[in-house]
Amino acid sequence: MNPQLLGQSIVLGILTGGVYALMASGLTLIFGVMRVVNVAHAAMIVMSAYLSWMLYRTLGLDPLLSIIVLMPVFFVLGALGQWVVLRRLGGRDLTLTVLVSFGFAIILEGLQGSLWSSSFQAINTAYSLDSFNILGIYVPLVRLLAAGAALALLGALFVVLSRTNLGRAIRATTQDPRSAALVGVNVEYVTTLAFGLGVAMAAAGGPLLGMLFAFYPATHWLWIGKLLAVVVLGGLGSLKGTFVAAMILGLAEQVATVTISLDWAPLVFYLFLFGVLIVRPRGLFGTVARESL
Amino acid sequence: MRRSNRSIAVPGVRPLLVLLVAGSVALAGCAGAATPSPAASAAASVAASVAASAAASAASSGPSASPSAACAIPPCDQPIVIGVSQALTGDKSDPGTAIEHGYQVWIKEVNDAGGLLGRKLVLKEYDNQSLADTAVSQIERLVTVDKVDLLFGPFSSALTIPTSAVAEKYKMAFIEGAGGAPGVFQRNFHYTFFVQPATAEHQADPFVAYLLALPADQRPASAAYPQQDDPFVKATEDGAQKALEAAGIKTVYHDVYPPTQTDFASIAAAVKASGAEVVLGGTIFNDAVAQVQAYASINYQPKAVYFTSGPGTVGAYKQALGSKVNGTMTGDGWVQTSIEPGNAKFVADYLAMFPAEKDIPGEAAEGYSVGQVLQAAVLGTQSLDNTKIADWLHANSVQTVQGNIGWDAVGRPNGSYLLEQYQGGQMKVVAPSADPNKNADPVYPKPKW
Repeated sequence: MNPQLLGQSIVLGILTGGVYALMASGLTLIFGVMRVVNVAHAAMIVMSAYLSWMLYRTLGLDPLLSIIVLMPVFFVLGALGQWVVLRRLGGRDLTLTVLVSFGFAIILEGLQGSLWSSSFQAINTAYSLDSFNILGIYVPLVRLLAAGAALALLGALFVVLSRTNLGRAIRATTQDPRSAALVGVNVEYVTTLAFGLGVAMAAAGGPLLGMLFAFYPATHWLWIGKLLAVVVLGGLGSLKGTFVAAMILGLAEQVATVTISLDWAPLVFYLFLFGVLIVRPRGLFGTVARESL
Repeated sequence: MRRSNRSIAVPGVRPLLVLLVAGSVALAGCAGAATPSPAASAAASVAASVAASAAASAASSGPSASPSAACAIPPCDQPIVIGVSQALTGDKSDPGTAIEHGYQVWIKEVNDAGGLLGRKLVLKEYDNQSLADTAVSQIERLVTVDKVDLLFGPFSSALTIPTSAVAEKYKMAFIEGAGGAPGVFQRNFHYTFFVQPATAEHQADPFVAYLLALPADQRPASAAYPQQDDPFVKATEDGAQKALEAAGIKTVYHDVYPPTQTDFASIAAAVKASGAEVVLGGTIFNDAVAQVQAYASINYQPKAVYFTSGPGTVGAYKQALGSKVNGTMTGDGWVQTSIEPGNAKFVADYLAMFPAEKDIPGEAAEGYSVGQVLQAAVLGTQSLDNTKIADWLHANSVQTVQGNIGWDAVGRPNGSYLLEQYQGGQMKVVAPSADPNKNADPVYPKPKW
């Protein structure tokens, strides 16, 4: 094994893992407060990638800057959707909410297909192919920027969750909605904001996805698989766990590509997941909740 | 009240999650096999387009459009319907759309000249979204429900292999411009005809011949074969790899990725680390673009790069890569500057019909040639009888914009490809030396990305 190649794949793995972490963060946040897997999460990310691509093509807006535009828009739309649709369904049956998100994923995919066709697209900026060399290891500039942006946004999300009243309310709701309500948290309101925040994180992931990888409407099926693996491995609802799991899986994937074979790269992802779940069913950072039946 | 230990927070959620994870793995698998999901198909597959307008006109010229003035085959008031299932969306949409444009140019030419056997031509077309299963059911539908008179093939071997079996079953001549993998011909079909100069395993022959003819001190010592999991690609790559290995050019990298691969960073790193002096990329289109970008971003500078498919879709390829196209090579049966009879008219008509495009994709010429072959067979037999058409094609050769093409008993063409290279942003024919279309010498080593 060529040590330089291994180093190269480890660097790529870490940078890619950072982006996976950002893309999965919204999924884990939404699961935390709602106990619902948002199957449309990856379709929302792809939607954001398309919008960022459009903004770049029509207005020349840098994809990294488009994050600032897209996040508030997605936040509002997400919160609105939660308040108007999901809030009413969730009270009746959680499974229904999953089905609705599944349907929404298909609607988004169809919409993207009819608007932009199902051809592959990618956001190619002037600096897309730039890289710099550290001790013989090439660090692609876009991956570094994407990982940096992901880290900054994850850091901000972490601060929001740990330092603000809203964050404390979200965490309280995540731990136990009924107890949170008892101590005065408006659970419905907090859930709506948390859902909006989760969707906003999806919006942040889109431009990064578009800069790093080609995308097309049906790519979200590939991504939701990866993102679910990340959040389940990390422990559902745990942001810290999501980050660690994304790093592990990003690394495993890139290193498998160069050491074993390309066929194995996607498999390694899931083998790792199943392996960990057998040993530790709650995921790496999942908490063991005690509650009544 | 009983207290229970739950690993995932809420009762009843875990089974659902297991289901979801398993489901998404399965979905990811499905998406791996083919790009778009069935979900979008309902809307998109009804993209039946009628390419023929009723604009009748008598004026025409050119060897390819020689109509018979009076209607020979009734019903004379009905158009001749040609059925197509084409990859207009999905991962093969760029080349698929290009072929479709070639069909349209040919149909317009024929209709402007009064039609075929005195009847207008109409294209009955479905979008198969680059999905083989969808293409198969669409061909079934075209034959049994739409009852089309004639069929054209789809883009790429992956779709031609299953759809040609349907055509064979119904004894419909299946003239196709983009299915040249061995799998197309191994079943000894009588009704399938591949309209390119040669089959896939010979596509890279001119490139191999060129490398092996280099002076010993310039000849590369090693080659890398990163390739998509695709029957056409595999045939081309295997053919080239075998020939280069036999000549002592070592294989230092060989790996296969799925058609849905979008991350090429680690692949590029591995190819670079292998030290390969030349790269034979087994690509369709998007992956060729992504490979170039990934190589450029880690400053990997091989002496020569050949892609099985991708660079030939000239406009889209140049748009994606800009000046980074220079130096890349591919094998093709056609080039825009070709001096083949009828090519000047095709080029002029194509540019008139698609004024936004300056560079005509090679696949459009393949589609146009398919039309030329069908036209020759229909005129040759004075019939729409598909068995007569197939028999005629086995016995004759046809002058197309890709050259004169004839077929063996299973529909394999009998010519050879051109080696093309981008130089100064233009696609040039650089080999074989004896070919009258050659208009530049190969640049080796290629310029840096």
